[in-house]
Amino acid sequence: MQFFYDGQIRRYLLQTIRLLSNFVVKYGDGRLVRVPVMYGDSDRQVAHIMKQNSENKINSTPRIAVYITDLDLDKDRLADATLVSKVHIRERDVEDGEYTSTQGRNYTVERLMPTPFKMTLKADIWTSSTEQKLQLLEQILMLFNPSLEIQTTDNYLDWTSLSVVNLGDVQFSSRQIPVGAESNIDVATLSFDIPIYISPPSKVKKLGVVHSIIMSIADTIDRGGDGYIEGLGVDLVPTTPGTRIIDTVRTTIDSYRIVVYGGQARLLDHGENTGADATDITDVDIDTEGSINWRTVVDAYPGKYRAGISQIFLVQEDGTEVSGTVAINSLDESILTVNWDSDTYPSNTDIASTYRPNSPGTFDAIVDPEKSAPGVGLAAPSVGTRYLIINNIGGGIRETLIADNRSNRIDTSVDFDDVVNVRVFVNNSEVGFSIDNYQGNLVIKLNNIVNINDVITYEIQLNEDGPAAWKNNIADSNGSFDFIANTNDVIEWDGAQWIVIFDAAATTDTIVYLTNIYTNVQYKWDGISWRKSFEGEYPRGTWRLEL
Amino acid sequence: MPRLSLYKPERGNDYKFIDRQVSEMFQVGGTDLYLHKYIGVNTSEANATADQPNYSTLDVTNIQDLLLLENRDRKYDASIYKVRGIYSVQNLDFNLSQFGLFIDNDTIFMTVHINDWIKSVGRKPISGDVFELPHLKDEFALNDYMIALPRYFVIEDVSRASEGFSQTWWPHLYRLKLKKIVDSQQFADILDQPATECGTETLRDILSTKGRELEINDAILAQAEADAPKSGYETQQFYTLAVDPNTGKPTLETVDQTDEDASNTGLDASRIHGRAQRSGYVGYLLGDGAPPNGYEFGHGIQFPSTPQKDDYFLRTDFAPNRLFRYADGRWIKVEDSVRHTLTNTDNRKTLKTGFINNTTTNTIAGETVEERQALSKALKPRADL
Repeated sequence: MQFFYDGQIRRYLLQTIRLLSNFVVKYGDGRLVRVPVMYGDSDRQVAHIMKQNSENKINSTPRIAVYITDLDLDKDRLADATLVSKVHIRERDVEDGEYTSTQGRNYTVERLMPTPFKMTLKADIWTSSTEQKLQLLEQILMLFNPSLEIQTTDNYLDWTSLSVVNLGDVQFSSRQIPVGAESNIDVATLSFDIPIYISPPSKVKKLGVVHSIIMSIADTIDRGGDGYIEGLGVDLVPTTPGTRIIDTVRTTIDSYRIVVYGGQARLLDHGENTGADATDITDVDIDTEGSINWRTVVDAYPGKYRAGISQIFLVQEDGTEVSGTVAINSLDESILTVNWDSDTYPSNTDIASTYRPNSPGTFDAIVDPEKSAPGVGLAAPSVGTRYLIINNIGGGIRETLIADNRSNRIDTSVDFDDVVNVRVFVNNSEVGFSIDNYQGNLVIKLNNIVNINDVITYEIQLNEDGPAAWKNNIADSNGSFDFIANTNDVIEWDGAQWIVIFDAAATTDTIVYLTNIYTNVQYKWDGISWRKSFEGEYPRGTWRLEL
Repeated sequence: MPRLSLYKPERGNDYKFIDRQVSEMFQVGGTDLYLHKYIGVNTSEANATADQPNYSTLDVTNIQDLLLLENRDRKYDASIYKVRGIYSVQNLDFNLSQFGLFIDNDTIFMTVHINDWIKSVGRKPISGDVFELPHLKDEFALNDYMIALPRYFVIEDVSRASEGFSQTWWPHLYRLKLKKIVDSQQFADILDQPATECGTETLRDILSTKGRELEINDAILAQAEADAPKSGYETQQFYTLAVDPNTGKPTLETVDQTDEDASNTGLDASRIHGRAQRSGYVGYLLGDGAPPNGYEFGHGIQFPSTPQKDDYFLRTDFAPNRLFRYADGRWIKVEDSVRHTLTNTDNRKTLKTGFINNTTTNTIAGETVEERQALSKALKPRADL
């Protein structure tokens, strides 16, 4: 056990001596003489020092001596020993050693239930005459009716500091009557009992108020053995009751949403629209006219705001958090300038490739293939070069679909007469097929029936020539040099031809993170579009501040 | 021839011869005693009552308190008498008590020559006479003074010593029972005397433990006051967030807002937040008469004439002092200053001590009346003459 001592009983003694101090007696000539009060169980050496090591020194009277006679556990006042009381405190800021009128550090103080004791003290009053004794008793006893409050500290957090001194027995004199041959000193004794507490140390922590409550509603319906739900039929997604989250309600300390863009964040008022164009991955055009001052939020949060040190955290869909240090814009306090910590960005999603083994979670640039191509604004590709394209490439159509039934037939809306070549891939493997003309449209009939959830991709080269700059160096299985890719795909050069390594249309239920090496900005594929990985709107409960 | 008898009804030559020998023996073998002669009690006409009368003359037979039978304010002759005495020196044992060190066997029995005493002092020794024994001075005590500490005794009982009866049956010696004096009211007249002829220190200063005890008591009080300067709890160091009472959100108030009155000289240009309307901390005895967050405030016995919104003002004519905040055209009570020192000072004014620490005088029908009066004496009928 580590040493701990706070002088708690000592403080009760101090305060008891304090309440008996500063009483005076009046001599016949009118002078008022103060009565010293001291602890009654002194060290012998100290007693000699006070006597200046001389038997000639004389003791003074009147005198009051206070000492402890008993200290007992007060079982009647015992309470739950495991109770931890928490107090949340905001401190004023300190500048140049003085408190200011602004908010400083914030704390949560945890206090464990203290142990109650009853302390009994005696105060011996030595007087040289009965009149003196009466003077003192009249002044002291009047204060007790029947008790007197004392405080060991004025600390707001010390819940044990307040106590009372109860006056018990009063022994008027230590002498007996008749006095006899020896006149001993005359001592009156007052007995006091004080209910006290002895406390363990408290825990002083950074203010820990709840600033976000996440309430999830889970499915608890028992579907029975066949998964049938009365009135609803059979659940398409069978789960164990209680494990499926139906809805989540988030309540935060301020209930504000925020919008994050570039290096800034802004509070959104209720019902306010961000105006962000979610489809534009190169820039987010957001209404930056803020109206809510960030200090309304910062003040409500625990802790002291420190520009450049306080942090913001954004909860991502995968549960991870992106953070950055913040500073309120001094010219417009509705804007929070954020210096994002790139180490907290979500991990890139590796797209395995033998041609780019060292950096599978990145691409080299975002390219508009209608404006740029190798040799046209872009350097000749090297093996492993990857681009994220924001327009279609090629003189054909490349479609991806997921089988929702077992079949070998794919109906398209492509005019059969325009078709030059067709390639079909099932789960990224090229498969055999035949084509047919059905009412003028192309129908593909696979050699084998696909299973439900198989990913089927077909490339249809039309009777038109693709862009020369994007042609492959080698022909495909149909003898075509055209390369076909769609908007949002990621393509890679294997040294002889372009390959679609990320098929956006085929990835609808997976979050994919890739970093653009050209700008060092990370992007997120959310199944619909690419966005900067963590920018956008954050509802309440998905962001927080750490001051 | 009369029958042989050493006893004679009168003190004859035999007595005188023996008495001279005894006197000589005290002169040769005795020690000096410096006597502070008790001469009566100090009384005053102003404080006189039937049971504590005032005596017009000093007399050793006067009794100061006829109820308690005490002579507390003893008066001693300014002259110091020198007599001789003999006693048995004994070893001392210290007794450590709750009031410090006492000497267990500090009672000594001193014998003095009757006739020499009477001749020198003028009366018989009585209880209350105080001796200094110069041969017991302590030159090496742990004091900073350049003088030795004398030892004082007070006569408790006086009788004639059995060994002082000669063959003539006439007594020659008094037996005095002496105890060490203490620094008490009874011996204040002696201890108030200067310790040296040219110094300012009194005998009490060098002899009594009182000064040191008061220093220690003061140190204890200082620590107790440091632990708990005032009753209740200190919350001035804590911050109260100003919140909108309707929305619960922090209120902001900056000088760039259009509704701020630029002529308001009390407005702090660096102020960002609205002012808290009261302290956010609640509990027992928290009111200290100061606004939350250390806001500046005025004080006085009447409100200022041109207040601004959220101005704080402490009315010192209220008991206890009351803090107000100005809002919506009126002064709203915030709190009372109820925190007081816990030390028994002369100006502490709780409910009880407000009755004791009271120097107020009232003019009632042209007569000045002290407000504080003993309950037994308040409004008693006054004598006509």
